[in-house]
Amino acid sequence: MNKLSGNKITPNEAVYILIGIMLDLNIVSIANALVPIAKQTSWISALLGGVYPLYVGILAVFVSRKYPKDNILTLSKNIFGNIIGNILNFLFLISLMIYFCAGLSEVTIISRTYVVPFLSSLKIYVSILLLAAYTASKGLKTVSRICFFNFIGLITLIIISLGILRNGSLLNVSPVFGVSLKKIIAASRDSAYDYALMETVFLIYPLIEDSKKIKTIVLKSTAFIVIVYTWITFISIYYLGIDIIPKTIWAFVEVSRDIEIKNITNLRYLVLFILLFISIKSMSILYYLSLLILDNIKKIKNKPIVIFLIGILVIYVCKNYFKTLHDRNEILEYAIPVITIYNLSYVSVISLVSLLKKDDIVGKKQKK
Amino acid sequence: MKRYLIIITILLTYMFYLYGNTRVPIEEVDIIVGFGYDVMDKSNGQIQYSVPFNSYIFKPNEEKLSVTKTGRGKNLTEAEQDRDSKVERKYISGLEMVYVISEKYAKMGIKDLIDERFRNTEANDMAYVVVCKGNSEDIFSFQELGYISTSDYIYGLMKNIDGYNFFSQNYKLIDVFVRMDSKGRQVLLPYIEISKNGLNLTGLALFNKDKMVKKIDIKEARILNLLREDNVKGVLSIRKDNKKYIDFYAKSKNRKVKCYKENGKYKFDINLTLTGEIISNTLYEDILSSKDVKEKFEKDMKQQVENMCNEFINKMQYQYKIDCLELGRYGAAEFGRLKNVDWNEIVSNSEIKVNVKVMVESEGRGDY
Amino acid sequence: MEKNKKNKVMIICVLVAVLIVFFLEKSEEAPNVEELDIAVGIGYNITEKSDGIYYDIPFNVYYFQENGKTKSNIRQGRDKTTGQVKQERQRESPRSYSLGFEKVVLIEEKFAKYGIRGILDVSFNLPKFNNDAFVFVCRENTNEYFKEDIMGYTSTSDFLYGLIKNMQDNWFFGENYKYKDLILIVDSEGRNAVLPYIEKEKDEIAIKGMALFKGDKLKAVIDINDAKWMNILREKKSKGLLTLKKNSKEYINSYSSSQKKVKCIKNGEECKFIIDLDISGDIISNTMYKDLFSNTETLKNFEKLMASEIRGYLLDFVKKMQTDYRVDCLELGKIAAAKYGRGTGVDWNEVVCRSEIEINVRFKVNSVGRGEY
Repeated sequence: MNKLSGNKITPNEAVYILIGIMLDLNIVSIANALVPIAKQTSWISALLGGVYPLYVGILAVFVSRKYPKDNILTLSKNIFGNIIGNILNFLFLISLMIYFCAGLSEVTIISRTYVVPFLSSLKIYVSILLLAAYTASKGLKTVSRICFFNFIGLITLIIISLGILRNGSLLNVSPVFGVSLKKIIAASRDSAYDYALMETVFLIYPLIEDSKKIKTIVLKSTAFIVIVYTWITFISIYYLGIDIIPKTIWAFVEVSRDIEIKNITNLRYLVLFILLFISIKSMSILYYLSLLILDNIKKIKNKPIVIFLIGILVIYVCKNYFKTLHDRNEILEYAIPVITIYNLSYVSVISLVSLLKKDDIVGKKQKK
Repeated sequence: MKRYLIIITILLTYMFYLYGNTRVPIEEVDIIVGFGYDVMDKSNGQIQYSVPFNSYIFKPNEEKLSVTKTGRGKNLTEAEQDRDSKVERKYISGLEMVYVISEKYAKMGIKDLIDERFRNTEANDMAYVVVCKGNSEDIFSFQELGYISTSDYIYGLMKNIDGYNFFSQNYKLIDVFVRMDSKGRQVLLPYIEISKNGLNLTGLALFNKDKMVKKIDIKEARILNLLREDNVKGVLSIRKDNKKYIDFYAKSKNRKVKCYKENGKYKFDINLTLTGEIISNTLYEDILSSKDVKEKFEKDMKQQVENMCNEFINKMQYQYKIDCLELGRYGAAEFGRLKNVDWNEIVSNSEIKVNVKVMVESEGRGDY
Repeated sequence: MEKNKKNKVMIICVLVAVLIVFFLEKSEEAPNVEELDIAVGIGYNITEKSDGIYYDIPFNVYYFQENGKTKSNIRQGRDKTTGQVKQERQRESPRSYSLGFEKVVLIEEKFAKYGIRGILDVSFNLPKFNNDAFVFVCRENTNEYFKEDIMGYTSTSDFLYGLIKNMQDNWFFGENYKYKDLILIVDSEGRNAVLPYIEKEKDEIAIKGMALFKGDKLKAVIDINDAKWMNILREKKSKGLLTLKKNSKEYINSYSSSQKKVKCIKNGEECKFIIDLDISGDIISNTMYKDLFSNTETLKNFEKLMASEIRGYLLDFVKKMQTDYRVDCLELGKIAAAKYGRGTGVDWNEVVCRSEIEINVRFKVNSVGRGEY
């Protein structure tokens, strides 16, 4: 292993980070979200949902070409001025925090249901956040390393899920075009939550060593994530069928329970371990990005205290507003459309303005 | 310094060696695991005390056996002496797991036996005390498959009692010590009997001071426990018809009792919080996805539990006339431990209000 | 130096916070493994009483004897809802239960007729429930079966577990009688569950047929011979013994494996199903033909005869299914739904019972053993 030195990350690491940021624990419930609308064609919806990260990624490619050294936070401050820019950035931070809390609460509920029903939620929050905080405090390089392991875990997960092919039936997925196109598109809109947070590419592109390669980075990560989501949705329908999926809460966990591989008896725990790892990784990245944004808004002098405070805040919110699945789903039902629209317009407006302005806004500011 | 230490250590070791028990091989030792207490009517109008005990015997081939022997006498001391005379081997007491008191004995009063146990320095305060139907001797001679002795079986029964039916763990000898003569407190012991399925827990024995007053069945016992204990667990159900029902595995939390005086009358408020998970549901549709349905369930359940509690309190106030909820304890804490106040009577004549809060915390892995 | 001090204070703060959470926060203890009863079989019965139906759910548990042997015992529980049963059972259980090791689930016929949705719901909700347990329908109360002491087996559950594995090899049984399959099948469109049906006769437990479900309710019980033909038609791949019999002395036994292909054609409103069966067998005993292996003509004749015989049985069964049982136990609806759309509100049971089912059988002798005697 090479040493974790320098602040910049290699293009490959950037791919892992982008995959890591988009791919949260919601892989286990993506089928549950889509199947009620798009029925057996849900996997097509999952495929189409990939347009969203692709669009954001392409914007990022253009912006990064013009301003390779400034992230979106600086750009927004330069365009709208310090105050409005900071407010917009702060709102962006809040959207990250909501994903943060939602993710933490989901992993807690899942692990309490399947693995450690005897642990209280608070204990799980604290244990996961401790790991995440430690990783985040070590910098982006370490985060990228954990993302790499996450990538391997993901591959393992997909290989394991191949084991179910023997048991399911293609009949469950057909007729392929039995559902109207309108419904497929409607469902693909619902997959926005799963594909969210590609926006953060605007935060990390200045940190990539070779900023010219951002195009391949975006394409690679998007392609991978689309494949993963489509596959997971497909395999869930393939095995469970569309009548059973709505009865479950986490369809993919149910699928993985029934996989039979010779000589491995407790496959379920392996799968749950990977899922737990995926979640810890998401928490680490979000922790790191929150610190990054806060640092941009106001220079952080004492990092440990800020990390500690973020942790306390997240636990507080999770404990009070995201405690049960019902609370969580209710909040997300309202929050996700707002967040998605805000994030999309935030990114689009800033990129368009900065691309259309002929003179170099950053340069001008500095001259003054 | 070092020299002193060595001397002290040697002295201590010597003392232990001198005054400790003489060592005997295990084959020559009996271990008493359960004590029983019976009374019997004799033909001449007198009563006879009989005290069976259940002990382990170790055979040379490492097998463990249990035997029951009985001592009889005109009073408890005599009977106990008789019992001691029947022990042919050296026996170790202080390892007893259960005390089984027959219903008849309990109705005559358990003061003498508790007194004896309290004086006996070797008595195991953590042993469970239960009341049984019929004679304890019959209970001890009942052989349950897979258990060396009935005492083991009862011990297991008691140890697991707190998982369901809202039972607590306060049925140990020490709890009886604490409760028997305290102001505003009442002893409450589990009631077991032999039925066709084996040895069962069938209810609770209510005590007034040291005398057993009444046996209540398991259904009432559940409500009594719910009202009396904190941090207990059990299943609550709403049943509409044979097929439509919902089961809620509830944990009671934050039980709070308020006692105040209004117009010279005592009033008690009992606040209960029930959190838990739904373990089976065929009554409410969409309880997983819809918050309204969930809230409706919580409201219905609250209503039902409150009704059940009020019904029980009515019965307690008019029929049993004992303060088996230990409300007097809170009254005594509020208004001073006045002499000559009969809390049983005060509680029976006061107004008791029950407030229940129900919260569904987890939904399991889906809803079929 | 200053920074180091601050960091130390921070670390201590975090440590204290964590300690507080982990030691002051109350939580349940996970029970020790030794203090658990291992449930290897679960039975479901109902009893009707004047105030409603009582669920009676015994557990078949292992217990360990002093001499090191393992035996099994039954723990009862009875109440009006499945959740309350759990609570009732605990009253006579000196240990709590560890789920996840169940080998079999037995359902009383009465219960099955009443509907098994309650079972599916309560166990679906339990994350620990073992999805790989085999499910059986039985005629009498399940206690009768659990009580049975079978030579060589620790419990009835172990015995049944072995039994079903054997049936898969000799009676064309499939593999889909597990709890997880039941969950997948019961509510899926165009699918119907079938489960092995056991009976106790003179203290012997044996599989005596199959129970056909429609939705979550038992619709019909068929005997073991019908079950054989149904399995051939239902399972994609299956194997078992087929016999061609002229009289009690002249017969041929063939250990065969069958492969199925189904096509569905829509003719206006009517559906037509074509089932192609490819059966190949090893001859294991032959007292009918003298020159079966020397004469290709005889072999061809035999194959033809066998195919038409099998086809006759299969057609008989299909007729019975369409007129008597009226359940689509061959899961033909699944194929039609996949081709002509789901969620249209069609009752596939009705459609299949109405429509024409064509069966083509091809029989081929694989190998001839090591010769004739």
